[in-house]
Amino acid sequence: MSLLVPCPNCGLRQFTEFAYGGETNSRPGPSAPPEELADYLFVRRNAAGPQQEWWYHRSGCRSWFLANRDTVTNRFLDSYWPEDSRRTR
Amino acid sequence: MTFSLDGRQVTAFANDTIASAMAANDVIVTARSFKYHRPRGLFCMTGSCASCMVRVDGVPNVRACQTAVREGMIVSRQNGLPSVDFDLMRAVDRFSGFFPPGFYYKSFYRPRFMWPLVEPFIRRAAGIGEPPAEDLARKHYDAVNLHPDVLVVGGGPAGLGAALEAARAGARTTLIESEPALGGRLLSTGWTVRDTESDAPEPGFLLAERLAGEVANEKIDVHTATTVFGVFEHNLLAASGPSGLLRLRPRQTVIATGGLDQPLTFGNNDLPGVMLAGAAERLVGLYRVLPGRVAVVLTGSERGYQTAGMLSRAGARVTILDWRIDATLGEIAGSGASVRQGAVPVRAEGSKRVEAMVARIGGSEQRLECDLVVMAGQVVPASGLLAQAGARMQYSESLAAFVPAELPDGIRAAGAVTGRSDAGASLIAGRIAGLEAAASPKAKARLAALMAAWSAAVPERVEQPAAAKSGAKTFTCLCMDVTTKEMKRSVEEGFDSIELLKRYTTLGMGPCQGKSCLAGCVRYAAEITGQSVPETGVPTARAPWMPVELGLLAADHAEPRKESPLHDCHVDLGAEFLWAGEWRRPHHYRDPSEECRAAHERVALIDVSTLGKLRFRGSGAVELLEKLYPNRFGDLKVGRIRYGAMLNDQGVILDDGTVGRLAENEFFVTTTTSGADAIDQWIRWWMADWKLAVQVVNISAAYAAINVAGPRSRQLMARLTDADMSAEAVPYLKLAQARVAGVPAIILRIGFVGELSYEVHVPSAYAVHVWESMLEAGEDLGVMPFGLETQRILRLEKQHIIVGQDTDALSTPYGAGLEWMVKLDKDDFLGRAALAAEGAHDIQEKLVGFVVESGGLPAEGAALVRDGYPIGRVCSSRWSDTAAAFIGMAWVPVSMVEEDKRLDFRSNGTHVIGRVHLKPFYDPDGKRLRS
Repeated sequence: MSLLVPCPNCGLRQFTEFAYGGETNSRPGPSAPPEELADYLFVRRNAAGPQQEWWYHRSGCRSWFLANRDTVTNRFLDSYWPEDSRRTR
Repeated sequence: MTFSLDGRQVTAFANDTIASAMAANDVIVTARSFKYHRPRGLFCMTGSCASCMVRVDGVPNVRACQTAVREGMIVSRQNGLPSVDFDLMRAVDRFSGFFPPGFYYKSFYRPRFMWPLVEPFIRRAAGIGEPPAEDLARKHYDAVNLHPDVLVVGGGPAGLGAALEAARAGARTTLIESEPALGGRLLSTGWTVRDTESDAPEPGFLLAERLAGEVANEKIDVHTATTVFGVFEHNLLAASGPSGLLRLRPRQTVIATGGLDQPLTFGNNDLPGVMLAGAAERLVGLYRVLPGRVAVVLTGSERGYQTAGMLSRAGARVTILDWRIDATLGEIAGSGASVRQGAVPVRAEGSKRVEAMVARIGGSEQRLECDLVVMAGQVVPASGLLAQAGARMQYSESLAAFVPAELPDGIRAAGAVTGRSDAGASLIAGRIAGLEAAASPKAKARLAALMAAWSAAVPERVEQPAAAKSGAKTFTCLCMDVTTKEMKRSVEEGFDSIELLKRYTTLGMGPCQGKSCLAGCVRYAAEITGQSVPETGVPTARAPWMPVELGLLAADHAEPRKESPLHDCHVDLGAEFLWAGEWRRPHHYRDPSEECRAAHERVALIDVSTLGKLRFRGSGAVELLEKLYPNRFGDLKVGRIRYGAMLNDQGVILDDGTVGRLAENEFFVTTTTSGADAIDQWIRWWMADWKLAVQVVNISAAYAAINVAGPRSRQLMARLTDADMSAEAVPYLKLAQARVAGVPAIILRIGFVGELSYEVHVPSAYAVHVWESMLEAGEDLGVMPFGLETQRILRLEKQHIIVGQDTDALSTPYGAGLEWMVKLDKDDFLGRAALAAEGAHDIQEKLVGFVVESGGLPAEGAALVRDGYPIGRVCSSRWSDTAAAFIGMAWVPVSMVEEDKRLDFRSNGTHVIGRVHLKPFYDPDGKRLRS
């Protein structure tokens, strides 16, 4: 557990400074069917490979950002702000 | 210099280690072994075995060979009952048949009654050393974080070369060496080594001295007596040394941990006086101690002849037993020793010290009297750190060892750790690795020159001696007392893969972590399973590579402790504190029932500065609140307050607090103490997604807060402010901004404790002034501070919930009695879809108040039972003076939500009977609260 996490604001920092927000997903609209709600709440893709996920620099700049991490090698591919066009979900 | 060894004064020289001083004073038995209590002597002299571990000044399991002698230190040898020289437990060795591998699963297991009888005996006998002295267990450990460009692990020839080249190429370089001095094996090398940088070969120890001098002249951060014990993700390395724990995060790492002498397998190969070649070389070359006068050197390579030469020049009579039949005899003359070829080692003989070596020469056993047996067998790469880092290891047939074949990014290896045994070759390999790690474009020419000098000569082929039946215990793992016989038996029992064999016999699981045994164990396992060595493989490498003190792993671990700006006031008032998360908060100042009375009858103050406080500002503030809360906020008038709870998208309550409207687009939001950070994080997360025109500023630390509660609180407030505090001007749930004791304040008319009360928020810097002014101005009103315990009683009397205490990860507002705040007609809010789908009708259990009828105070967490099955639980319970009874709140099935319904609780083995009480116990209509 000695991961280095790339904060877009502060650079590479020890993972203990961060909170992990899990894989990204999209929140269903108010009129979405219950199945969609259940998927959103309880089903995770749990990708083996690159995954877009949320990170929060809790003991740093207190910003949420997105990162692509390969869950197999535990390497970060990149990280960026939520408003970035690279966001996929 | 003198020190005490088992109560006896021992003289030593300044550069001695405890081990060399013991050898010089003819202390041959250095410890008793782990299981059989066999005598053990100096074996490796490099910190790679467990045979010389001693207790030093109360610290157990200190490696005598790695620890410099200090004047007056108190050393005792370990595991002897009563003493190491005369150990009664030695009898265990004679009855070792009772202790087969896994004996704790087998022997004494049946009949069952035997185990309690033998267990204390086994526990007393087993283990290594005794726990450290109590005061040492409380020692503080420092941690240092280092971020060099290039980290070199190992200060032998390869490491010195790497550090020098990296530093000269401009890299910020750190060099770590586990021994007290730089030089590694060069220090004890009596023969000559050729450095490519100089023309003439020079004796190894002189070369070491020269290179160490060059290192001192460069800007290299050198840590000696420091051992890297683990390599972790993203190139984090951890080391233990005099500066405490080192956390190293280098850009590039050069691993130059060298090689490890491996023992040979013959009978009694653990007798004191039987040692590895490196140990003999160090004793003679480094400490000028001759470990024996009549020596037998067992070898099958050039190395044995070099070691024999050193011993012979130091005055020992040496016989070389070479298991090769056709060895080139060129070096024999120089070694001054007699040589017997084709000699297969069979067993050592002796009781507490080796007295003879028996070998099979030409078909017959021959006995050579001696007091020293030197094993100059194989040297294998010390590749534990590389394997931890994720290097792929491959078996080399010619070296008969696993060598690193593929290295992870950022990690390089040089020297004997790659399988090269020649010191000169290691030095140049180190230079190349250091230069490559520094990655300086200017050094290209230099690198080319070094590469040209690099000879790709194939290292000497390693041959193993043939196996011979000895009739005596033959150890494959000394630390854990594992013999060839036990390994064979375990394989026969079916533990035939190396990982299983390791776990079952515990081979390689001792303090040396396989450094002095793994190669031999794997080879022997291959032999008895009939597999090849590569098929057998090696067990997974894990940290720590060297044993470390547990305290070191927790070095410098910060435990946050938060104090309110009023903390000193509480101390002065004699408060008893408790931990509330990271906060230190007053539990009480005097008897809580007295404090309760003050709140009910007069006026009382509680410091609530620990609450989370947020300011929302912007045109999107209302929209953000509408999304975050199930409540409606668009219709909240300026100057009014609303109580709300935040939910997650499952509809579960996360936190609660108040929202006050300061202006059209400005709100003052409070959260619970424990939820302050999590809610800040939660809101920021949704803001990152929703992109609303609103600023959220966390002002939790900037504002202190004091709750002024009780029927006389209005009187007290009126004395401190010019603003109108009347019931008409500031009614219940009204927000006011005014000066209190001259300090600008936000005043909230809310009442968690159920009385007329004002929550006064002021800038933290003025908190002490405001607190003291309130105590002073209210003296004649009977003002009294109250603590958390009183607050908990008062709020329970009102059945006001505490999120996290009365709610859990499944509690929705419907169950918790907060259905009134859920506005499903709003478009959207967090948790809306889940609450809409679930609906109020699906609720299984509800939170209700109860009063105890008989049985005493039910513990928080006690079960509500029906027919012996749990159907609910108590979440809060206290004695209430107001109700003159034990009262509480509990989650009960919906069917039981009925006034006076009987509740049966099981609390710590007692039966408690309670009755449902739906209304608050105090001021049920809220008249006092709203007064």
